[in-house]
Amino acid sequence: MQLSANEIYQTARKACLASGYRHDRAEDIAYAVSWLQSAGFDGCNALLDMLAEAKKDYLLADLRPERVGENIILDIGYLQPAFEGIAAIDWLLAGDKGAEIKIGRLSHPLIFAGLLWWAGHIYQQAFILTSKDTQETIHLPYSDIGAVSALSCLTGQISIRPGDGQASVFSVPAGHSGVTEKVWDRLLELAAHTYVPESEASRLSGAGAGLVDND
Amino acid sequence: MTPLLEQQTDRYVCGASLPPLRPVDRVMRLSRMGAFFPHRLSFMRVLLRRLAKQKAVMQMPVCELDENGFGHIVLSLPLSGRIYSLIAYSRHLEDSARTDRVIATQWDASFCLFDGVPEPADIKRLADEVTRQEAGRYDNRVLTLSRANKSVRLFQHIIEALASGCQPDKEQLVATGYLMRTTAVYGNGKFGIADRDQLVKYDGLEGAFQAEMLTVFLIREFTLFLAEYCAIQKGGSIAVPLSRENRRYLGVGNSTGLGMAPFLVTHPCLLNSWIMAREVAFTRVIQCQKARPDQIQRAEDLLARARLHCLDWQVEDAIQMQRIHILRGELERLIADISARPLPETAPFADLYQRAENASEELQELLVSVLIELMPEEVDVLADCMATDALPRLVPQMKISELKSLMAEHYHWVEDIDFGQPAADAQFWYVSAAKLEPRLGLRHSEPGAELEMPFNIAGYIRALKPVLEQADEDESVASFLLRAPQHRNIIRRIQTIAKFPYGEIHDNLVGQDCRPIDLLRCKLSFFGASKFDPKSDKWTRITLYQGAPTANELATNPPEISDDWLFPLHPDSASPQS
Repeated sequence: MQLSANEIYQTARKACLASGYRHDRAEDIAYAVSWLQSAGFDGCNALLDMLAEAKKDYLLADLRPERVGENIILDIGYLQPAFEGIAAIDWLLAGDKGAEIKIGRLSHPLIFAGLLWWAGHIYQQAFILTSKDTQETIHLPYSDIGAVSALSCLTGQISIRPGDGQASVFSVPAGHSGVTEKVWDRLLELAAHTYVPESEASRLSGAGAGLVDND
Repeated sequence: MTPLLEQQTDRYVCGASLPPLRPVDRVMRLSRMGAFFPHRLSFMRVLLRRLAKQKAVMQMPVCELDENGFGHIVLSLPLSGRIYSLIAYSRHLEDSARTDRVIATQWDASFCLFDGVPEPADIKRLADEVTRQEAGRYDNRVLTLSRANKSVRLFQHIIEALASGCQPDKEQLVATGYLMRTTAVYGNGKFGIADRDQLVKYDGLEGAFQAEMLTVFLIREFTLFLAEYCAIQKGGSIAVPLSRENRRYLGVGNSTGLGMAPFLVTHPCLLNSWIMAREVAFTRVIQCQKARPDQIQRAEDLLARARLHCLDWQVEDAIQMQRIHILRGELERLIADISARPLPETAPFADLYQRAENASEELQELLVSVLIELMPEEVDVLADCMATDALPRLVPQMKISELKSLMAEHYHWVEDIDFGQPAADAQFWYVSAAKLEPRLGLRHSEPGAELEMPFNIAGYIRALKPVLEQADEDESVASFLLRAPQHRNIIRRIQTIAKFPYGEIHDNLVGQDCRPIDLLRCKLSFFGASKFDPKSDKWTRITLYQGAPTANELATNPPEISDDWLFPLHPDSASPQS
């Protein structure tokens, strides 16, 4: 089925909230998912996969940047996009000289790629990725969306540092995209957990309750 | 005495440096926001100025109504070179099913704004969807979605009157002021319709809520046509159309509940752009050192019109009616004062505003609307700055010392809240499972608070403050958040508000005394709504486009006449209105 970018954003955001993510993280993930969908990626499906593993009481890993020579390294053994991923991107965006993150293992790389692209777009900041899995350096955002595909194939041993200068951002207009009904229904089901079940009391206290509108 | 204006920063707005403005702390209080009036930067005014300038001519390519007025019609209007069409479906509705609440499932009329002119197949396909509103599915050729219910008594009265060759009774017209009330206007991708990002590329719809305002304007045309059509069905050759004056006086009603309120909290950058434009407009006018005689006369005319408008403004709500009574008295005294002591030659408009320094917020904000009218050449350009794609964003490189300083500057109002009292967080905002209706619950007696919307801004500030006190002042926000990620949302908000200061409401939104109706009135004033008619502290009725030119006047009236409809009056009232 075809869905608008805002429908995807709002439903993804609520599904994230229902899965225990805080509001800021839910919004960032939802923007990334909406962007991925508009760019032709299966962002909603990737989100569902990620939310299936979400733990409501998850605590961010203990992350401590360390100075190594002229560089400051943030070593992340296992990066989950909604937690260490967002924290790491914020940290890279802070622009400390020599800042670099090293990721031992990456979960849900497509979502992380979406987050990086979205951050690069908003902050006009390029990121440079290297990995043992690939011979080529990946630039994000870049002049096409192939870099997202490349990153989404990586699972670990990744190094990311801020690029020099402003990002050359390929513009992806927000628009309608296709999502399977099965995936969408599941996201709606999750989103519904953010709604407060109606009671007679809440119905009666709702705006406009009890009034006759035949005037 | 509090200074009237203060320098915010060295920021710019609409390409010009920002003048000293009314302090954020003064403007962004719920009580003041709940006293705003429509003004010439209101979105309906902006839309009609553009349509009148373009001399837009409306057409009705399709009209398939039966003898009872049931069926469908299409109204098409060009705007900046593109044609938009309202497809209106009119249906029989039992009285028992007529409710303005969002939980309704049937309406007297259902609408969508269509990109272009619909083919018969489009009209047929959409009939099954649009009449079910939220239960339907749409594509991106549908730009907005809306529905409306008849104001049954006035609708019937007007049909009876016109059918018998008479104009409707003035008292009944004034008492209601519209033939139908819309109960929702959906935009921005809801149920599969076009995203806002799509509309901003269409000339004429790039401004704030322009597609929604166009929809309501065409709904008004539909209601006028439908009433006249039904009168002809009933009266035949005896029937007469509504007079030009009565057509113009009839607006579109609207019932608005809590659904509108969260928008202002979740869109701080946009709220800032609206308020900022209005404040800059106001400031440009009161900084005028020497006014032309016609500007002075216009100010006096508008005050006289406002006085009459307020005499027509009757509501059942005791609190609002009390405010209206006070406002009427204040307006009388202000007009008398100007008569006895004319505005000075130097800085006359600042003088006018300062004469209300000790008056109610209703009068002060009414004066803002009056003053903004006086210098269109300085004001109208600001309409281009009332839409923004800016989003709240973290500034991760900011030092904790700077963050603390911003928090102290922009959130000192939090210190006034007594968090030891249950009243401090007595309410919570949530989305009900019933058609996703936003509601306000009582935290200490109703379930659901764990699912509340993040509107306890004051509470989050309070929780952050001691944590920041322990942090290294030289540390970056990003580094701090590695240890305290739970504060990322409020830190991002503080940093955003520092850049968009009119984006934050300086009151406790979950406190016992929070009245959502104030949020509604603020937002509705930017739409251009008049006759604010609260039915409780959670919902209100209003009138849209009352006094505005109708479609057939857009191409024939001089643009300045089409734009003169602040404080609408019934044509029988002695009035300086054009």
